[in-house]
Amino acid sequence: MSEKRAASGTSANLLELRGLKKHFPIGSAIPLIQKRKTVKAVDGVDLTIARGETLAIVGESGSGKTTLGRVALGLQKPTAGEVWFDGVRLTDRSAEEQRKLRRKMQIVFQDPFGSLNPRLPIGDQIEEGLVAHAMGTPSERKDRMHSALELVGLPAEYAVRYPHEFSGGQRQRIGIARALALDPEFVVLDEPVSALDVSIQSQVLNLLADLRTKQGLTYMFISHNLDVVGYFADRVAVMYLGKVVESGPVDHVFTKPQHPYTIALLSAVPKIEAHDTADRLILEGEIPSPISPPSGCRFRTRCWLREQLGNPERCATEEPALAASPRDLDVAVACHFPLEDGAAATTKAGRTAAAASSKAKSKA
Amino acid sequence: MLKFALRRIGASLLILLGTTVFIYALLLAAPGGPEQKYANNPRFTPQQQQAYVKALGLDKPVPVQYCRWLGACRRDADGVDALIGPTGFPSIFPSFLSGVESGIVHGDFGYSYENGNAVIERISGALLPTLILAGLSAALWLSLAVILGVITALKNGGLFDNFFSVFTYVTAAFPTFILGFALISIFSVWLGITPVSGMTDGRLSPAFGSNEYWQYFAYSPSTALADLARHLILPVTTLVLISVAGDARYVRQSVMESMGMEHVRTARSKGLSSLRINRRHILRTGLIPFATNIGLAFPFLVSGALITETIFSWPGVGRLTLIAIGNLDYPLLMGILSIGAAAVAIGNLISDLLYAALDPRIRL
Repeated sequence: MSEKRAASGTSANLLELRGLKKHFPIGSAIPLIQKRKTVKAVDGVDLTIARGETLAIVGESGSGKTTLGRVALGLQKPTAGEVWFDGVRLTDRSAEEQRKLRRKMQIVFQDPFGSLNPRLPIGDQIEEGLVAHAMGTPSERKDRMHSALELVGLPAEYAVRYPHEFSGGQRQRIGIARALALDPEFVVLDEPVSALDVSIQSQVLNLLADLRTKQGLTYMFISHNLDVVGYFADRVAVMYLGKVVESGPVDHVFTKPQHPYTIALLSAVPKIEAHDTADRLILEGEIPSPISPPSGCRFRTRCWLREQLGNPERCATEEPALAASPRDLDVAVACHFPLEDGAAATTKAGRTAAAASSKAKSKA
Repeated sequence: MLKFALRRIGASLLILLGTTVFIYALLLAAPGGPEQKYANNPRFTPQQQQAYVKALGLDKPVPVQYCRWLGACRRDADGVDALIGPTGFPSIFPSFLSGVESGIVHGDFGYSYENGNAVIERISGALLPTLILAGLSAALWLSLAVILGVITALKNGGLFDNFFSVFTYVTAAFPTFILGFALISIFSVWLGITPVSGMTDGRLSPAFGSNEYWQYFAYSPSTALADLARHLILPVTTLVLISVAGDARYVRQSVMESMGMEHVRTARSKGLSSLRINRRHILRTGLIPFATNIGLAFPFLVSGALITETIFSWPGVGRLTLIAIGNLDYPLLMGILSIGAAAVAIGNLISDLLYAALDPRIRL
């Protein structure tokens, strides 16, 4: 965490999301008979990110991670809920004010190939943001652009080249330079390394970690690579079908996971040490349709714990709220039957035991 | 770039050569021919017919006939000697080098059967009217297509966009010959505000640009221009109406495609104003395919609009084509087709070079 920013801000939380929802309408409605269907990509998310902190958002494809990042930045308008940035409620600012605030909130996109304009030299693309926010004189902007390139380890002379002249890793660094040239406080990293070769991934991650300390940045790190999250983030929020199911400090959540979904994700991480393949928890099927999510707990259709508990009624009728866990107040979990010894549940035997104890408890 | 241009020009010349072979073969296979024109004339004796055929060189083998028509062989020599001009250069070289003046490569397209005028004179006489009509229409519909395409793309799904979709279907369903006559019925016959047809109002219909023409308008360019404009209204309207919808849809499609590109989202995340995003990131990418398409409209300026020119008795190349077909006027038809083919080749060449020039990813 950086001291530089922590001192300057007015509130401890740089970003706050309250009841954030983003629904995408699909198809067309039949008037009076049928309402227009919506994809509930993000469906009620509350999150805070403290200054200088890195919050990781994890979850499988289609869980709404990317949409959450975009809505948080105001790149997409939320259907409901509020976004607070540095004590300012973004959601009721005019488009022009939001545009001006973008300088402070940047994003690095997942796809290093599509996210750069193929017809503009990269220097122009980096400089463009500076022009839009009227930062400095033209020569100052040039200097700034050059130093942004150097910051990510690219020679300033490369500014006149076009995106197609660079490799994937270089382009992703250009994307980072572009975001950082504006001197932002908050950066959403939307799977910044998933499109890159493994050999380049760590290089880019180290760069991002260095910049975090040097510039005092606050990150929202969207990823489905749990190993990377463990290395990179301070806190983690696990998303499933548009909702946060578990959140808390990485070392708590990863060592003592309480939500059966978190456990499933953790047990699916490939490990180098030999271990029983039966230990690996395979979630069957696809994530359910976000158009009509399951009633009650959204995860119940694929929940291994519910099966072992003998399919309790409550899972289908009552939606579990995300609340601080009685066992660990730093962690919030949305499950009717949170696990006590989640770490053990990453093995098959541990799961059976954990389920048995949960069962006994729920009867008591 | 120069190398690419030269290669592309070389390829165009080869394609053009192939096209002339095709044109020659096609008309050789078609019924009729110069000697058959007099076949039913009792005063045309077999001896006369033989002399006529010999004079035209139709007694020679087909390859020699083609070679002479093309201008690669000179008429006053036989065998391999014909390939070499009197100056010692190959006959196909330009006249000032080879000394050969016959054949289409030297601009000699022969003489029209209909009235014995040089084909090249008849075509060049029709070229200016076609250039005026087609040029004005193309300029109008291309710019309208860009404006309408961009508006409907940026405001897609809106009222105007939906209205324009209907307009597209309506105009696409209207054949030229119905639309043209419908316009004449309404505006010329019923309302009487536009001339029915023709390019001039002269009672004796003096040819456009001739001495009589200027005399008729008392040598006043403004009067002549006003008269020309009145005659242009209906044919231009017809051509614009039938062509604008398709091209506007094309522009709409490609602009919408570029709106959805990831680098546009990057541009938005930089905090650029929407005007700047539209101009620099969406339209720049989205309009390039159309810009290169404009080169393909070039042949239209030379070949004209067959049906529209005929409906409105416009003395252009399109109408001349129909006349040539009707009269089995083969030299004229071959001339028009060859020049049309050359125009297509040039149009494609312009289009290719333009594309290479506009897209930085193409390095040649």
